[in-house]
Amino acid sequence: MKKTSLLVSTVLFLFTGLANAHGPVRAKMTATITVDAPAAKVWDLIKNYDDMSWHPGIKSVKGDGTNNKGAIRVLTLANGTITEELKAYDAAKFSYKYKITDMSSTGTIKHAGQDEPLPVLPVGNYAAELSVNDKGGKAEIEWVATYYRAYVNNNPPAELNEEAADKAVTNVLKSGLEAIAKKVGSGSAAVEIDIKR
Amino acid sequence: MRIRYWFLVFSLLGVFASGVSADSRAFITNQLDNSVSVIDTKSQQVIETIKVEGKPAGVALNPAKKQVYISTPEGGGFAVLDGEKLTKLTKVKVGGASLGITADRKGEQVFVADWYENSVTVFDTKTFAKIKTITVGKSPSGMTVSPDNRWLYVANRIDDSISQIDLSKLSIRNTTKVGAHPFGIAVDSQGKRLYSANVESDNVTVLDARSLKRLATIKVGARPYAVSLALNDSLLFVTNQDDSTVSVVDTATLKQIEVIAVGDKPEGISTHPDDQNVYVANWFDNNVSVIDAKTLKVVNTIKTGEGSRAFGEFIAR
Repeated sequence: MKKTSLLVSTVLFLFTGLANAHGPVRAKMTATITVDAPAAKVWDLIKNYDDMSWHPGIKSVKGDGTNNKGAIRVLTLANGTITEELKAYDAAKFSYKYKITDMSSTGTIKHAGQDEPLPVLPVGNYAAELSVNDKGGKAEIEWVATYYRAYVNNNPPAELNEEAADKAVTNVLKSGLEAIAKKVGSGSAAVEIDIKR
Repeated sequence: MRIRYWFLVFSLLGVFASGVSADSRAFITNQLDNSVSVIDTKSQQVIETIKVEGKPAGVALNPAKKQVYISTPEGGGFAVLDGEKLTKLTKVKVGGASLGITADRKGEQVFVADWYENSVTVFDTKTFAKIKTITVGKSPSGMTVSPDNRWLYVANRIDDSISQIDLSKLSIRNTTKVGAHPFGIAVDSQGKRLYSANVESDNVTVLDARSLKRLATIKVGARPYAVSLALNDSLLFVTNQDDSTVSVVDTATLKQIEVIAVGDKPEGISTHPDDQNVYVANWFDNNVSVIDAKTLKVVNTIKTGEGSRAFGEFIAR
């Protein structure tokens, strides 16, 4: 009995060691939800780059009032701010792309003898696309995010590893899509999450 | 007389060029799909998709042996494909995380960089027996071989340097500092200049390919990934991952002269043997953009698989 659990922990340890030894790898998360509403109605709700009042995790947004490429918005969350740049905007295709250019930190931790800041979202080099597609009268909302973990060297601390990044991004995308579904009157729809790296 | 002579030369060149392009295939690694898309560059269609496990990333071609090598960072080695029949021949275990891969110009040896072991391992392309492991800098990534087959160049990403390996001795002759985090590299057809895309400093370093003397640093877009030359080495194309663009650098003036919008997260880049069409793998968009180096326009977009990376020289010459 003891032997088995020892073996299991050894195997787990080896596996974790291997995973941690890995340098940062870019992840691609695809979150989708299909709601019973016209795509144009859904797009109408989310189309303004400086309006994220539909997202429950975001308290306020400051933008420049445009949907022009290069527009900057600053999101205020419960634990800090995120600055994002609009990279592409396509009103005809109901889609826009943006990337995080700056984040405030929520504190620091000591790791490997260094002070490591904890960003609002524990990710690195984050970019995403939000789009709405018509699926036979229904709307499929797709939010695709690409990012690395926040820690750039090998052997990340738990707060800044892949798991922490995936969890945080899942939370942003899932709660956002659920809120959109609710606002367009399709509250029971479920979000599908797919993570690849 | 003279006119006829030139006419003949141009006709021959024309025949030669079209003969080459008919056979040319682009091998695109789809990292998230564990597959390789094979594009017939004449019809501009994907003609085969080959399953390769282990998050395939790097590509190297060996026209002499009609082999294609695909590095698999999570498979700890590389896969060998038959470049003609488009089948899997064998898998070679290297250990660690294999990423950068290239073959010598005669097709006798294949070199595999190991991201964690800080080494380049040399294999015989007949037996796939290990010939030697050469210790290089930290996190070796992009590699290329000089046209005269004398030098192997290796970008040591975390060391911000490039090493020049003497292929007759399989040992390092020289190492020099470049910009921050060099990744993809390319040497010109005369073996005179070497170019590196420096991911963290958003620029390209130009080195004398023999002495490794730094000749210039050229500002490009955000997080440049890889480089490729076209039109008789006169233009250098650079993929800018975070800008979804390709920078075009005039190699005479060493200035960026154009920025071309491609797909999102453009990564691997290679020039067709016609020296005019430049292929770019777009990781986020799961496709390949084809740029005409003469007009500097995207002339086609070809759907591939998820996470198209194609790191290396991926079109058969």
